[in-house]
Amino acid sequence: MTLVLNAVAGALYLFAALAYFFQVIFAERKLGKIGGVFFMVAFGLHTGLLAAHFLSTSYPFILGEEDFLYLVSWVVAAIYVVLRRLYPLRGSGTLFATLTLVFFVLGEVLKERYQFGVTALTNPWALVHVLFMSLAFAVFTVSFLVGLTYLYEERKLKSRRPGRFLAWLPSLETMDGIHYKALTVGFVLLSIGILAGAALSKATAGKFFSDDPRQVAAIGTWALYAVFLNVRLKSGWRGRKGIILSILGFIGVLIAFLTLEHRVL
Amino acid sequence: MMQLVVIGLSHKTAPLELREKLAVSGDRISEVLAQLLRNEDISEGMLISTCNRVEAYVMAKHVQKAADAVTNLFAGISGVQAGELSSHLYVRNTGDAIAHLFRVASSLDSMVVGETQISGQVKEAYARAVAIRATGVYLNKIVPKALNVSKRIRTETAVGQQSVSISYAAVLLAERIFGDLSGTRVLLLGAGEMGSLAAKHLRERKVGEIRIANRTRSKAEDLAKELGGSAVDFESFRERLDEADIVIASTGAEGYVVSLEDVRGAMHRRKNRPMFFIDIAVPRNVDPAVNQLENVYLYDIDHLQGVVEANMKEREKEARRAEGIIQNELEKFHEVLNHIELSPTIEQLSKKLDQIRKAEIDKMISKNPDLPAGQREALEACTRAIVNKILHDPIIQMKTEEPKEGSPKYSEILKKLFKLDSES
Repeated sequence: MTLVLNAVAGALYLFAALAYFFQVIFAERKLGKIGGVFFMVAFGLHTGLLAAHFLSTSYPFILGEEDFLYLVSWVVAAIYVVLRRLYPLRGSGTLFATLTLVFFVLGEVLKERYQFGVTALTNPWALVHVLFMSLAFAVFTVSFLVGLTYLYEERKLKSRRPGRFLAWLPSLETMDGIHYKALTVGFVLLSIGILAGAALSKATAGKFFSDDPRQVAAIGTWALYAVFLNVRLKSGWRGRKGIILSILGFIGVLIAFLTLEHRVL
Repeated sequence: MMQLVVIGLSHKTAPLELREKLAVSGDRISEVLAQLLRNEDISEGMLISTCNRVEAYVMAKHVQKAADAVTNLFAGISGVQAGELSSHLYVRNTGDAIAHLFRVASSLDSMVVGETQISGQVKEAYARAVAIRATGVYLNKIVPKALNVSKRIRTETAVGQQSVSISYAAVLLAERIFGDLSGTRVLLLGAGEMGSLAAKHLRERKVGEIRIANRTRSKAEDLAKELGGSAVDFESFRERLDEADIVIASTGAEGYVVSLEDVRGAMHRRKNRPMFFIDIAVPRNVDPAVNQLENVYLYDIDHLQGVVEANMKEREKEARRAEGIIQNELEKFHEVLNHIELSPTIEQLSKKLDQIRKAEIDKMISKNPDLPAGQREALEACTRAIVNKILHDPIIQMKTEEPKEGSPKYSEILKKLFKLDSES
C-alpha cells in the first residue's frame, strides 16, 4: 500500500514538473496553475506518508540514507510551498518539482545503501545529525534552484529579450537575496549537523573526527561555504559570478554525497 | 420590444476637439441623465463620459427614436449641429450593444488596450445612474455583468500586463531587476521630454529619489520641481554615478556621455550592486560596451522598441483570447436576458388568468350564496391549482428553449394571443 501511494506521489510530482515545464514552453499560465495543483496534492500525500512513516517507526525514526533523502525531498517541497506564497515563483516550478522528485526517487533507489549500525542508532546524536544534515541539504538545494532561476532571468535581461515569462519570477535582486539568505541558513544548519556528527563519532568510534570520507567531504563543504559567504560580504561577488560559484559548489557536494559513503558505525 | 441601445462616440470615431466639447463632467452627468429619462421612449439609462468616449446606454423600444433623442441631447451639450454630430456617432442595439459594453468595460475598445482605468469608470457611471434611479431590471443585470466579464478577462488573460510604451517598458524592466523600486535612486541625464516621461513613470512607482543633471542648470531645476527631485551639477555627475541605481540618459550630446570606464569605476564603488541604464538618446549617450560589465544592464531605444513590439504581439494574442471570453459570456447572458424579457409577460399572463378565475368564482358564489365557507375555500384552491398547472409547462418551455431564429419571440406571441398589452 505504502509503495503504491509513494508511486502516486512521485507521479504527481512528475505531472507537476511537466505542467510547469509546458507552462514555460507555451507561455500558458493555466498550465502553471494546473502544475500548482498537482504539486500541492503531491505534497499533501508526501506529508501524510512521511508522518505515517515516522509514526510507524519508533525512536530514533531515522535509520539511514532512505529516510534522509525522503526528508530532504519533503523539506525542499515544503520550502517551495512557502516561497511560492511570498514570491512569484511559478516560473521555476519545473526546477523545484523535478529536484523534489529526484530526491524522492533516490531515496527508494538507495534504500539498501546505508543503514546506521546498532551503536549509532541508539545514540541521540544520530537523530540530531541526520535531521540537521537533511535540513541543510534541502536549504542548499533551494539556493541552488533559485540560483539557476537567477541565471536564466539574468541572461534574458542581458540579451534584451525579456519576454513575458519573467512576470512569473521574482526580480533579480529578490532572487539574489533569497539565494544568499538560503546559503546563510544552510550554513548554520550544516554547522550544527557537522557538530552533531562529530559528537556521534566521539560516542561510537571514540574520536570526534576521523578520515571517514563523508566527514571529510562535509568539512570541505563547510569551508567552501564559509569562504564564499565571507567573500560575498566583503567584496562585490554578488549577482551572476557569485551564483555560478555557489552552483558549482552545490554540484560538487551532490557528487560527493552520491559517491562517498560513511564507514558503517 | 425593450432593447439596449448604445449611442456614442469614441477615440475611434471622433477627434479630440469634438470629444472635448461633448465631455460631461462628473456632477453634470446625473443632470443630463435625468433629462434623457424624461423622454418617453427611454426607460432606463446610463452615461459614460471619459476623455476617450462619451456614450449613452439606454433601454428603449424604438432604436431610431432613442438614437434621435440622444443625438439631440448631445448636440445641445456640445453645441455641434445634430447632423454633423451624427456622422461621428455609432448606434448599436440588442446583442451588439451588450457586446460593445462588455468590450468597453474590459478595455478592449480602449485607446491603449488593456488599460485598467476604464472598468472603474464604467463602475462609477453605473453608480451615478443607480443613485438617481435611472436604471431598472435590464441595466441592473447588464452593467454588473459587463463589470464581471471585465474582471474575468483581467484575471484569465494577460491583456493588461504588457507595456506598449517605451518609457513604461523601461519601468517594468527596472522592476525585473530591482523588484520594489522604493529604495532605488534615479539619475536623469538631460531634461528632454522622453527622459522626463520615463522619470515620471518611475516616480509613480515611488522610487526613492530622483536626481536631474542637465547642461543648462535652470532646466534641470525646473524639471526637478515638477518631478519632486533635485538638480545636480552636470559636470560632476560621474563622481557620484555609483549612487544611482537607474540612469536615464537623454541628452542631445554627440558622442558618449557615459563611458565604459565611468561605469566600471561606479560599479567598483557600489560593490557590484546592479545598475540599469536606459539610453533613450539618439545618438546614444551610453557606451554600448557597458552592458558587458557584470550586473550592468543597458537598454537603448532600439532594445526598448524591440521589447514593446514583442509585448504588442503578446497583447494582440491576449486580446483575441479576451474576445473569445466575451463571446462565451454573451451566449450565456442571452438566456438571462431572455428571462428578463419574458418575466413581465409571464406576470401579465398569470395575472390575467387569475382575474378570469376570480371573476368566474365570484359569479358562481353570487349564484349560490349558501355555499359553506369550507367549500368556497376548496373551490379557490382547486381553481388556483388548475391555473398553475396549465401555466407550468408553457413557462418552463419558454424559459428553457428559445424560438427558432427568425420566428417571433414568445413574449410577442403571448401578448398577441392573450391580448396582454392592451390591459397593462
